[in-house]
Amino acid sequence: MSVSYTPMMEQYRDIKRRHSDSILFFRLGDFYEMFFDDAELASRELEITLTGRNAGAAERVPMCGVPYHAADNYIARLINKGYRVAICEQVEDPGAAKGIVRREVIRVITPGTVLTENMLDKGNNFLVLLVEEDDIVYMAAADVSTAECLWAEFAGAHRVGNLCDQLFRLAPAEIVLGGKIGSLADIQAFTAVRLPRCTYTSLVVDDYAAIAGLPGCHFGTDELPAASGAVSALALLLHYLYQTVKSDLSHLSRLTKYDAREYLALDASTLRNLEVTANMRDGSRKDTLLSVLDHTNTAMGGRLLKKWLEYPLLNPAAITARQDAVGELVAKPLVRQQFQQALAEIYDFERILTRIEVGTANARDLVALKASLAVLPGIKAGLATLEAKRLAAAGVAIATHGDVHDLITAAIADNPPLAVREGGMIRVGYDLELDELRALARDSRQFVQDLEAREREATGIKSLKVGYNKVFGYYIEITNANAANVPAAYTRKQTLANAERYITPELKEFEIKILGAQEKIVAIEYHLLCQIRDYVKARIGEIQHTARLVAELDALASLAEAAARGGYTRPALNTAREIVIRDGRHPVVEKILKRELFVPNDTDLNHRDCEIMIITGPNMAGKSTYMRQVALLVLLAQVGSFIPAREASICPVDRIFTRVGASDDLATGQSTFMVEMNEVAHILRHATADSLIVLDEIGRGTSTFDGMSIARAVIEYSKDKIRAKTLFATHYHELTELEETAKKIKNYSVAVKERGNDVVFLRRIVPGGADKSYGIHVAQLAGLPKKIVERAQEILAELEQGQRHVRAAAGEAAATACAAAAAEQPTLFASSIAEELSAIDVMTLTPLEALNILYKLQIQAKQEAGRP
Amino acid sequence: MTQPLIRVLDENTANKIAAGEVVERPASVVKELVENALDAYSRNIEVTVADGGSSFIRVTDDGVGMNRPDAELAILRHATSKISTAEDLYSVHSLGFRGEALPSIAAVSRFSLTTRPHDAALATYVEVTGGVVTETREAGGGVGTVVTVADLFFNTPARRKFLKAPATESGHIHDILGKLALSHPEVAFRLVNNDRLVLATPGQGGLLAAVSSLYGAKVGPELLPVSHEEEGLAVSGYIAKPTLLKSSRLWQTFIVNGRVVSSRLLAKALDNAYHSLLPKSGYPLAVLTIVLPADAVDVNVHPQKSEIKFSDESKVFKAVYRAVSASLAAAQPEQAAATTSFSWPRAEQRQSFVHPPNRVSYEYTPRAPADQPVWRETPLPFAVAREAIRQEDALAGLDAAPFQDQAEEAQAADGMNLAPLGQVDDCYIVARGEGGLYIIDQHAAHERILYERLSAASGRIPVQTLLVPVFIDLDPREAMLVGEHLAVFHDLGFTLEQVGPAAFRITEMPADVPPGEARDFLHDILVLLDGRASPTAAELRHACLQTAACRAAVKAGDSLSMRQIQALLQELAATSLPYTCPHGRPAIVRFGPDDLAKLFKRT
Repeated sequence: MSVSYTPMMEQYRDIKRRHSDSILFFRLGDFYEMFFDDAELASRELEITLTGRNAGAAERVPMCGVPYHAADNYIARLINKGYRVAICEQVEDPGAAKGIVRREVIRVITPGTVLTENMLDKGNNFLVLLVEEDDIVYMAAADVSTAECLWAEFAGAHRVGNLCDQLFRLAPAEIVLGGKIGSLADIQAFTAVRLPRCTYTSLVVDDYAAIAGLPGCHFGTDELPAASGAVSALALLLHYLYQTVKSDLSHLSRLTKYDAREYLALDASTLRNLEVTANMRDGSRKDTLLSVLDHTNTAMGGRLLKKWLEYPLLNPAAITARQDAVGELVAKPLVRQQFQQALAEIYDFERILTRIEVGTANARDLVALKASLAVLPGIKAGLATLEAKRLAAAGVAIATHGDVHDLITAAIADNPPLAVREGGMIRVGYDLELDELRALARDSRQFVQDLEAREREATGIKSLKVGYNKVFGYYIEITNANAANVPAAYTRKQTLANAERYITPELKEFEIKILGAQEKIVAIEYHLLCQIRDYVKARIGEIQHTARLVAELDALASLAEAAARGGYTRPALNTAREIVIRDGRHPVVEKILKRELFVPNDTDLNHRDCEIMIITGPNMAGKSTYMRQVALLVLLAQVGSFIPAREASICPVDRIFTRVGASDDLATGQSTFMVEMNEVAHILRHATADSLIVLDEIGRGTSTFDGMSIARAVIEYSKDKIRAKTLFATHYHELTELEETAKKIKNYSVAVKERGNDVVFLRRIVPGGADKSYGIHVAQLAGLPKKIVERAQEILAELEQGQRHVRAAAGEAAATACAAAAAEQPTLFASSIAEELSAIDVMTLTPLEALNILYKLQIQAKQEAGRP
Repeated sequence: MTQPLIRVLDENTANKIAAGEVVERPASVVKELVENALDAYSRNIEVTVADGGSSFIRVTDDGVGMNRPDAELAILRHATSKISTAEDLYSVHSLGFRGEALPSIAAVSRFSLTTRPHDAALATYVEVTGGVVTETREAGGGVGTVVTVADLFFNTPARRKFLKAPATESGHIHDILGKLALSHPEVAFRLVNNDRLVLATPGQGGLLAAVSSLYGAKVGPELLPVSHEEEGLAVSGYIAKPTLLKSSRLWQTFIVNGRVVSSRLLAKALDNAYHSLLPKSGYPLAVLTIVLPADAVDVNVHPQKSEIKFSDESKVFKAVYRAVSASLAAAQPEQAAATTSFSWPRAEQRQSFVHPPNRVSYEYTPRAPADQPVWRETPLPFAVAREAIRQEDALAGLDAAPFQDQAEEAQAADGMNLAPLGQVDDCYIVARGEGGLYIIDQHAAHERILYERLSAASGRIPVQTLLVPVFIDLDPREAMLVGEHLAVFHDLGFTLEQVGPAAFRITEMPADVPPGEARDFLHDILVLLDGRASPTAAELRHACLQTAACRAAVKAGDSLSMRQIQALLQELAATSLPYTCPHGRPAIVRFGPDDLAKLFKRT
């Protein structure tokens, strides 16, 4: 049964049909209204009152609304909950429209296309689009707010893993699926745990041919990737952005390719384990490597520094270039200080440029852009005095955009309002016509005052007043007591309880002039603002380029500041495939310690005599800290940063792998041991001889012997097959025997001092293996009740006694196994039945023991025969 | 058998006594330890203190460190690596040499030393409690030395009592460390006080960078370089332009052969060079490094070695005087072209200081290069310098602010019994009263009176109905705000009627405010309303009353009759807080008999 609605509601339903996946904000006067299901949903999510509206049908239509000037806040809340919001505006002047006002959706806001400042933090907000073609996953990604656009392809057996690593770094707010992705379930499982904020959208395009040309038009054919899958990913991405942002996106002009081979590969778990940009505790930046290094003064610099940490370099020349720049800024603290002061004046102008591009920039944005541009000449001059290549080149390349700065200075008032359609933005003296109109509007006071005095005189009514209100305009108010004296020329306009309001031709004429002027002022100001925006928009490419240079300077100065504050030194780069660190410190832990002092440690990893460090020592002694420290210092060195060490020489590694600490992957439903083994498998598959591997207590998730065996096998495999620099911490002191087996394996331990019953951790890594774990001691330190500690010590004593037997047995077993193998009698057990029998001393057996042995032998015989 | 009356003191007691000389307060511990660190060729020195240093001091350096036997010896009295015979005293280049510091400090604290030379894997840890070695063992540690001093004076309660408030003690530490940092700009210093980094020098970029990081980047452009050399004596460093004056000598640092010293001789030489340039009393900021042969100076005259003796005082005096004068003279014509809007924040200071007529009877050529003699005759010869040294107290200056205790008496205003004497500059009222001479800021005083009167009335602020309404024009945004807040304005005493899209008629406004000020007043309130944080009604009211009082009060420049003055003083005395205006500025300044005596140097 069809219901007939009012024309306006028909218009609504028509638009809603085309945006059924979004909540439609339908502009009605000063409100955005929502109807039907949208209204019920929004009233629940936003806690606003649900009402109804007569819409022609028998039943009132559910409705709720928010005032237009407060809409941003409500939209932000809906976006944060993962909804999409379509903004539908009146696109013609209601006064001029015939029938109902035409309305159009002017923007669709999705988590990945947010542009409003209050919905974005300082970091990036990426939108990722995925396409799969011939078993290759293509990714196109864009941060519309900062005008970054990149693409990548993931092929081969580990494409999903590699894609997930990349997703982890981009941390997209929204993933758009352009078609069917084979391993979507795996990707979604990953994002559910690691990127819980991320939402998914499916994009269905009926006529792909219509959009296939988009990337070519937008980026120019030179920049396009060769793979057709990549082009279609970009085409879909652009299509999606055009549909949502609804602008020509001219600022999104630079397309880069993410090529894993250019960067030190860090998988998601390594980034997490090392707490590079987010800590493990709550995912925030607190106590991360980034927090120690981030002394940036601009949002752009902050984003770039984060990127640098997530994508350390491989190319020694590129690393050296950054080191040179950092070094010069460290050595010239006064220059650095000047840069920092100048940079602090710079706003997030990448995002301002985006708002200019999409036409939402207001006058304050322009003032902020002006203030940012104002410090550029100083920065340029400062850079000109420097020698490091990157800095000097940036000094040459930074353009100061003096014309833009001067134009905004001349045109925009110093403290303009946020609103763009209320006037007050344009500076006096910029536009002659505007100034004249303003003068006209300003003189109204005098006119009203004069008119009032004249009319009082003429009518003799003392209480005569001239007034104004928005609905009726100007009026002359006369109380009822004086009604008799009202001149005939007055026209009655409005009746109040105790007064009448009139208008005269003179007042009417004045009103038309004033109101006209007011309207014209607003229109002219808006027009001028648009003109200036367009002027800036034409220059967007150049200014973006400057913004990128500013970001780079900021990031370099930040590294220099961190180096100066932390007493860091410049690591040398070697080609001898060595990692040599003297008195290295953990950059984050040394900051957290207050009363205690961080104990620095040396590292010597090479492929001659120390490829694998087996580190033993008690819990809490600092093994994990040490290993993370080595990984972090290598990472930092490849970022081009200075590092907390007395001196260091580092050869860039191609990947850093870590398997550290207990994983909290309970959310994935995997057991700790399973997660651990997955990660180890991943490492062993991907590591090369140029990698750095950090393994912390492999195999502790299972029984002692299983664990020890796995650990030993992993080390052996690493030694023989991978030959990567490896740090291996373990509790299994038995593994220290491996040192004997290969020259490249070295034992290290954390020095411990026993003092009576007490143990002091010296936190110093020294050559040689440890022979004790001091686990019970640590338990005592942790406050385990004394009774339990004592009992544990007893049990330990017994076990140690027992273990000697076990070891002896194991030794024999191994020997017999060899013998068995030689005899080509493979058996699941260590010895054959014959040997077992001959080993029995029948004379000393009790009858029960004899029966037990018989039982065992029978089972063994059955199994050897393959019968249960 | 009688016990002998005289005994040789055991070592521990001797150390405790010596500590009295060397360890005066936490800052002296810091000084001794940092000087040790400097002597050990450190590049980075970090000082961490808590509670003003009384509970915890730690000095960490990355110097050469010590091996175990040395570490054990270091805490013995008169053990030093720095000299071996008394003759060495005259050629001493290190900062310490007596071997007194560590044992003295260890005698009066819970002391620990962790030290490692670069060729050892493990550090040595020595723990001394109240002078008794309680533990010696291996430890983990970086190359260099860490000394921890906890619970200073825990075993000498009498001395502990003499420690000042933690803020004062950490202030002393801050001062001394700042000066040490200036004496070694090539070393990076850090001071962490109660877990906050409060001082850091870069250890690079020379003295100027160290000065900038200590005194702020803005000081940089205010400094003049000093560089002067004569007969084996070199003076270098930075002095401030005469426009940058400081309130005390804390901002003056003298470094002689790498040692921070306090010297009246040097301070006087500095003062004299500035003498004619200083517009008012104050002390120029200065960092001066003097290098002269080791045998021309005796450093062993003071237990803390903070004072020294020059063998030829007049020569040093003259050299410093000439160095500073030359630098000041050279700076004078320095005035660059107008600033562009794009210049560095540190662009040269534009304001020029006018050179006052020379009152001293020597001449100098303004552009004279520093190395040429700038004055012919020597009318300020040695004799003057001598005198300067002798007049010890003259240097003490007028540091102490005479009106410190004003805050304490602020509330006790009753019974001041002010009898007006007159009005000065149409701005201040001078009055005699109990307890001395009073100067009253007439505007601030009236503001206070009006504020209290206005706030005494509850409900709507007292209003005046205007006979002739005031018409005002606002800009559209303001008009919108007024339109939205008509009720608020009504409570604040304004009755407004709209007479145009952005024009209003004021028919009523707060009493006492002159109608001519209506627009400005309204504007002030609009600024408040427009601010980001929407003010509460009470805040608005308070702010409005403040503004009303301010707008209505007599202004500086209003001439008052004696009667008006009398009335004003009476009403002021009746207010609850007569000493300050509602904005918190002082309204009354009192000069007690003591203050007056001080001003006239009668004490």
